[in-house]
Amino acid sequence: MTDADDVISRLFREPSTPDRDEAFAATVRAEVARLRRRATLLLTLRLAAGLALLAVGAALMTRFGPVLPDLSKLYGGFEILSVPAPLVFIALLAGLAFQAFTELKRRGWIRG
Amino acid sequence: MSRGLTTAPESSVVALAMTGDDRAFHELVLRRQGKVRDLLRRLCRNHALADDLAQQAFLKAWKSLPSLREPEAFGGWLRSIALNVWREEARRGGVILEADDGRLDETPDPVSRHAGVEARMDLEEALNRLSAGERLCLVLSHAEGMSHGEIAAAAELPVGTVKSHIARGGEKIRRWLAIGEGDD
Repeated sequence: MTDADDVISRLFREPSTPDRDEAFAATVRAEVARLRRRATLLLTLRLAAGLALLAVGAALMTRFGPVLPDLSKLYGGFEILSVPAPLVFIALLAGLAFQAFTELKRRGWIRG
Repeated sequence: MSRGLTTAPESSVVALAMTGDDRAFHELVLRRQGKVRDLLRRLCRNHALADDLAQQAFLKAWKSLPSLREPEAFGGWLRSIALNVWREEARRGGVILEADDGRLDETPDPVSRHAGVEARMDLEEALNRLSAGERLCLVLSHAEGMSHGEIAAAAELPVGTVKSHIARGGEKIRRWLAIGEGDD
C-alpha cells in the first residue's frame, strides 16, 4: 500500500456517526416492537381462522355424520382405517397446535 | 440496560439475541450502528437515506437472526445485509454498478487538504463525485478492509471490474483531495 493509499484508508476509517447512538437504537427498538406486535396479530388471526374451520367441520360432522368415508366398509377388513369423526377433529386440532408451536419456536419466542 | 450485556463478548450477545431476547438485540444495534451507518453514508449521497437504509438493515437482521449459523460471523453477516439493502435501493434508482462515468479527465479543482472533520467532509464530497460502482468498491476496500475477491462476491461484480473501479476511483480521490505519493 502506498502512502497515498494509507492516507485515504485513514480518512475512510474515521467514524462520522456517534458511538452507541441511543436515539438511533431506540428507533430500531420501536420498529422491532411494532413488527413483533404485527406478527403476533397475524399468528393469532391464522390460529383463529384454523379453529373456525375446525368448528365448521365439527358442526358439519355433527349435522351430517362423518365426512370421511368409512374405509373399512369400502375395502373390508381394514378396521384401523375407520377413524371416528371426533378423532379426526382432535388430530386436526393437535396439528394446528403443533404448527403454532413450531412457528413460535422458529421466531425464538419459545426457548428450549 | 444491564451492565452484563454491555460488557459481554459480542458472540454471547448475538447468541442471546438469537433466542429472541430484545435487550440483547438492542445492545447489538448500539454496538454496530456506527459501522453500518458509516458504511451506508459513504455509499449513499444522502445521510437521511443512509440512516433509513441502516434501520431497514437492522430490521432484516432481526427477522433473519434465528437463521444465523455462527454468532461469531455476525459482523460480516450484518454488513452483507446492509450491502443488499443498499443494492436494492440502488437498483430501484436505476444505478448500474458496472458503469464507469469516465470523468477521470474532468478533474475539478482539488479540495484543500485539512485534518480531522474537514478532511472527512472533503472525502465525502469527493466520494459523491464518483460513480456508484467506484464508490462501493473503494469504500469496501479502504473502510472495510475487504479483499478484491470479497468485494467481487459482495458486489456481484467481476474481479477485473472491482480492480478497475478501485484504481480509477482511488486516482480520482487522490487528485481531488490533492494527495500525492509520499504524502502522510
